[in-house]
Amino acid sequence: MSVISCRGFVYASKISKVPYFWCVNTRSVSSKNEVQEIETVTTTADKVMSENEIKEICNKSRLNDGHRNLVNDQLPYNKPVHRYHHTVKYKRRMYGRYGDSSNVNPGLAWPTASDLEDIREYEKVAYPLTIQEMQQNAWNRLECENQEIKMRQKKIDDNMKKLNGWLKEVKEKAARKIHDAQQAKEKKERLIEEVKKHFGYKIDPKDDRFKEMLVKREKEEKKKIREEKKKIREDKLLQQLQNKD
Amino acid sequence: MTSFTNKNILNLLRNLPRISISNLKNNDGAVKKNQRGRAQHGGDKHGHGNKGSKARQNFMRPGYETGNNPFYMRFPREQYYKDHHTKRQYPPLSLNSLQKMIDLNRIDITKPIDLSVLCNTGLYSIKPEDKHFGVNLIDEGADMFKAKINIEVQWASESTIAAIERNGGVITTSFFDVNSLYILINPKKFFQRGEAIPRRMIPPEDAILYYSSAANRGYLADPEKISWERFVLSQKYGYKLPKIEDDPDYEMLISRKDQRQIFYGLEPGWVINLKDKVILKPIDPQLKEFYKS
Repeated sequence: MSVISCRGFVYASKISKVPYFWCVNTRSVSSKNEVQEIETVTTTADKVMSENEIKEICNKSRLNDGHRNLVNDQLPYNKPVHRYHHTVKYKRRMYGRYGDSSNVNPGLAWPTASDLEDIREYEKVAYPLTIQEMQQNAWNRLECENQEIKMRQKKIDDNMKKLNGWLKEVKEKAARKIHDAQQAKEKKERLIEEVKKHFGYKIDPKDDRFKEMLVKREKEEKKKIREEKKKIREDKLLQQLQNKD
Repeated sequence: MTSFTNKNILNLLRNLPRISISNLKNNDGAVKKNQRGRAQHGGDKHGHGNKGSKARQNFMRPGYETGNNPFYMRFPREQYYKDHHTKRQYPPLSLNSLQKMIDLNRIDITKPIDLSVLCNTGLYSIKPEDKHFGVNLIDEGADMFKAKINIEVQWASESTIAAIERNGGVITTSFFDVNSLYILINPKKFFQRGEAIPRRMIPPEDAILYYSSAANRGYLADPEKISWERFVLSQKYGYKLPKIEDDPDYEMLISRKDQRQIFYGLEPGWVINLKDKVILKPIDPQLKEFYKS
């Protein structure tokens, strides 16, 4: 009996001389080896094994029990193993997946009285309004928005009607401003002219004498206006008295 | 002579080890060394000058102007995508592809169609976690659409409604809250959870008018108003409205879900066990009352 070592594996067989590459092949095609001898061993069972023992021997998957059950579509654990196996969620799940064979009371599927209370409390906060109330609110909001749009449109319409008048006003105002400025300018020129005439020669408007003269002139003019007004008033009074008589 | 050499070479080959990953060598230049040398192997400045911000590779974030008021924040602007991530989305499905699904037997039109049927085709899917709230049936291929169906969607345009009703079909728009949506798009997963079917919750305030409008065929609308709107739409689009009452599939066409119902034929509060093939119904009056409210 010779021992042939090949890439770390040790093959012990009754083959006397085996070339190197055959040795590698023996792993897969050893049956084709013509030189190999077959040893037959006959054993006699002393006692008959039980079903469970046979099953245990047949289990060559090397999976743990839970995983093996899962693969075979059976309840993974008959007894609770982990802490979460005591939870309602897990038990429900086991019933949902494995039905009656899970040994779970299907009554767990429904919420308990306290759960119901919790759910009701949550819904009270999450859905405070009924459908009808929500519809009413939505209609009201829509109406408000429409009302706002309508109001604004009405305002625009009204303003559009007034627009021509406003344009006219603005134009008149601008024209009056120009007119007033023109008049003021003319008046000033006239005054300067008069002052010039008074002195008889051209005088600088910044001169003190000129300024004095201007103030004097203005005072006179104001006086004139006042007197005119007074006169008009007296005339009016006279007329009224005459009318009364 | 030749035979002798061949024999030798053959023997040599036989005795040589096999080619494997352990005795193979990389091609020249296949493995590149790290370009940047360290320390005495050329590790000096690496083109980054001497000290300072550049040598330390202090890269500023885009748009940052070292303490200035950045250009992108300098002017007020209207945010076009403001609150975009919070809005409800309805991924579209065209009438064209719906017709194709029907023609290829992905959908059985002898039964009412809802979102779970559409998701079961494997050709349409929604993700509630991405704010998807159901299917938007769009009118692409409305002229080609020929099927008579009873379909429940979450959003539909006027022309889509017209296309379905012209063929003698019925369409309903209905809202599902996120929890119900998860249940509806994958019923098997829900049934394996071993819980009682919950009630469908009411739509949010900004969707209530859509789902209670007869023109949109909302599930909260008055059926009489809906039948009137069906007539109005047929007049508008100019087709003769087929009479549902005379239809042989009348029962199928008029079947609708209750506003608290998630699945056709299954009421809230029931427990479905797929393994034992049983339906469990609550008998406790408190539970009954809860699931009816």
